[in-house]
Amino acid sequence: MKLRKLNRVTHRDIGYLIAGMTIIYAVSGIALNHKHDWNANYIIDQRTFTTDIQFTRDTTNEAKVYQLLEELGETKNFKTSYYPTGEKLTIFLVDGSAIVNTATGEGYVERLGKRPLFYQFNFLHYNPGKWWKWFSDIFCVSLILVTITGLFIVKGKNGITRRGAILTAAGIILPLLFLFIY
Amino acid sequence: MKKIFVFTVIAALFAACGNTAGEKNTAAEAGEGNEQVTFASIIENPDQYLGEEITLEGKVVHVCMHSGKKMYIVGEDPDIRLFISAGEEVPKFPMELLGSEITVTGVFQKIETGAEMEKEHVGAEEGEECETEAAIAAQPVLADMMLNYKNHTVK
Repeated sequence: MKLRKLNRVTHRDIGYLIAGMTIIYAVSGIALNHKHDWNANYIIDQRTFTTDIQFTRDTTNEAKVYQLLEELGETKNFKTSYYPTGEKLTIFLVDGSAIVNTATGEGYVERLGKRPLFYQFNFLHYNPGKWWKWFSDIFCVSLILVTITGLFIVKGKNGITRRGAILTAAGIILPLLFLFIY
Repeated sequence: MKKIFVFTVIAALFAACGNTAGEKNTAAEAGEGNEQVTFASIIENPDQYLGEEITLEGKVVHVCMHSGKKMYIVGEDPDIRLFISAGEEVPKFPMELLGSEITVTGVFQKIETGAEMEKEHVGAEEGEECETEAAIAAQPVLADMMLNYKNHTVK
């Protein structure tokens, strides 16, 4: 098989194989790139409340917690409670929590839901286990292969010797500039 | 006389076994290569378990929402938290663990650098994560200890 044909076939077939993975990593990469602007994994729903129930570390028991949960309509979701030193009582619920400032009686119920698609994509991006680590290494090598073979697909004035050379050089100079500046 | 002597030796052996059992089960009972310990025992003498694979029970009181790589559990004392770091075995701790009573296994070790405790979400959130880490720093014990996670079961 001629080299050029081999190059094209390699680029095509590996490109097909890694298309899905590339989209997964790219989408989760964008999501995680902006993790300071949003929670890429969870949708957080909060609602505030105020209660007159007096909570102290000595007097707080399950009955009192249930009293509050009844006010909030969360009795069916109770898991357990946590009240360390301080003024914050946390009541763990299924898929969320109720947090109470025991000094003021103010609090909020926080519900967590997995962000569809992003949660799953980010899960994969974070390397779930040793085998996935090797799999993602192979994926990265494939990306390199697809990139290099792609450089030599086109012949002539739009190929790597002319237009392609300019664009490829620009793509290398840009990150180098960033490195130099920062 | 001989019978009394034999009986005394046997009784002494039983007494010795009873005293050394303490709050630790042997590796044979807890599973190969790790010790079943209580929260109280690692609070009382953390150095004894340094570098060892241990199994203990606790309540999950915090899971890092952004990275999911950090989790904190407590025992009977709600003011003494233990930091658990996810390793290669798990990509992240699921938020569903919050509030759950778990039995967790891992290697008990010192936090050697600030890296493990470094806030992965600096600037991302104020509030709960900072409060938990601030509370850990103020703990009289286990502030510089962590469990390198291996596996867990929910009770």
